[in-house]
Amino acid sequence: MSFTSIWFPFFCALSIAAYFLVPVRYQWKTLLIISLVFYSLANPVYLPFLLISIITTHYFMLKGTGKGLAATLIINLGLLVYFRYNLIPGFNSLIVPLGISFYTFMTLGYALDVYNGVIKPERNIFKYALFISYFPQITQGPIGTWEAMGRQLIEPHYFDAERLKRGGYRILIGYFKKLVIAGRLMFYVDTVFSSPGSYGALTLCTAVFFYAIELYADFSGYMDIAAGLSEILGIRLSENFLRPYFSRTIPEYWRRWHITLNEWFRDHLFVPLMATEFNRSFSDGLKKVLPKAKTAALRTMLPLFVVWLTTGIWHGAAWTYLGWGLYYAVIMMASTGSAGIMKRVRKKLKWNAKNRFIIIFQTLRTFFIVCLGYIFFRAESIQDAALIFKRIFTGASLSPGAVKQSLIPFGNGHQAIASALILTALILGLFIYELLEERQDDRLSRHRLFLAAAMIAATGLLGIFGQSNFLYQAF
Amino acid sequence: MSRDEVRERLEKVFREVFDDETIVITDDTSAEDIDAWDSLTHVELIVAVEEEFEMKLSAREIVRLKNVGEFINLIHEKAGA
Repeated sequence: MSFTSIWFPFFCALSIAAYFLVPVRYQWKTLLIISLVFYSLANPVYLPFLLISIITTHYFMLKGTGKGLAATLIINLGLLVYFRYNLIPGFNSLIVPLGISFYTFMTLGYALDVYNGVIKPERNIFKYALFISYFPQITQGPIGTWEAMGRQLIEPHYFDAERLKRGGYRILIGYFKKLVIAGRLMFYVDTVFSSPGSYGALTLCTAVFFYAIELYADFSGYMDIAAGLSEILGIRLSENFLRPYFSRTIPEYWRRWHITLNEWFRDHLFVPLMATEFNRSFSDGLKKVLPKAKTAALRTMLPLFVVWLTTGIWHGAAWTYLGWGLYYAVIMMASTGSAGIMKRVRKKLKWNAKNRFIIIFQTLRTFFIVCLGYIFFRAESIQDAALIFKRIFTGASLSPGAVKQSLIPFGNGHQAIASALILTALILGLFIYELLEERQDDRLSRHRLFLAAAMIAATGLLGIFGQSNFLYQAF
Repeated sequence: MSRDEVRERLEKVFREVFDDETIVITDDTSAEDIDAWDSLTHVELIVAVEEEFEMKLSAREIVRLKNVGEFINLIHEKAGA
């Protein structure tokens, strides 16, 4: 069942009622049953694969041995690669178990943490099963850790009206972002990206910008619904977004966008790779070529490259994702490699990091770099991505013809102008809301009732219902 | 080398890496307490510790660290061994 399904609110209401009405010692068991029912409602065929992963991982990691870890990695990565990547010709899977990229990463994180002695293995398989299958997070994350989630899920929780209000408000924000903002932007973005060759630079730029907002509204909207629902139950999900488009640098952006995935890669790939003997020799080799470079910066080069390539491939087996991963590998390596020099330059220039213009410049620059990355991420082929880059950088024009063309994907005549105006107002509204949040302005909490009413009205009037799944559900 | 000595020398390393002479570390200090503590400074910290205390830290040792107290214990144990 999707969060956008018409049945979802009823499912939630029933689940919340059941969770708080059963005696507390049955609470987490009830939650496990609800979660497995939720997962089966998407397609009962998916369930056996989830159960195979849960049962084998729990069994093999009971002792936390290297052999157990190897078995866990082979089974889980094997299933993930089989279902998501179609590597063996003639053995293409027709189905992809819902949320497999997300729950596999949670599983691997658990196994690696047990093996490394960071956590103790859970002896009760049903408690472990709840950790993996917990329904607000199974389809699209956040990729929770056992440390953050394990105990919370088992603890008793009592109904709290304040939490219901807070959680309910967050769910509203989530639906507003998903159904109104992402839902409305999707038409424009899909139209342009399905045949980029038919459009000029201005239209392509608009589509890329809209996609940046659509993806954020869609993915963080999902996260708001999941976290709000979870909050009502008394369980805190790990945050996945911290207003990422206000970041001043790309490394900062990656600490504020899809946080749990990036932390996973940091803890389970970046740090282990960084400490390998191979990486030490590799960075020693680099040091001979670049004697002035900092040892620490050189030590990050290979791990950064591998991590970003893997992050790209995690999103799918396509050249576009590989291109996107490489794009960030190069940027992160350049950013890390030049951090020392930039620090000295800024000192010499007496650069005031708190200057408002510098902050605005850095934020816009970072957003621009992120948008360019989205060309790879969203384009339907690497050829399309190349074409969009070429058009944007060679054919920029603000002529009346170009402006008129950029309105075409909105629809016909007056409808196009109305659509453009509504979307501009919505994006501006979201921007102001997040800017106030970023500044921790207390007007947001004082006018919460008004904002809730406005979001309900906007969702009712402008929401696009029954159209689509969430974008990250495809990963 | 006593545990206090390790703490003192580690504090010096922290101050150099984070370029902040006011940093005071306690056993409970963690990445959440220091704003500039990101992946790069984390690696800088590891490299600086390896150089300062002349030792190599393995991936398993690093990922287990939850706070400065555990970091001090690790260095203390390895230096004593």
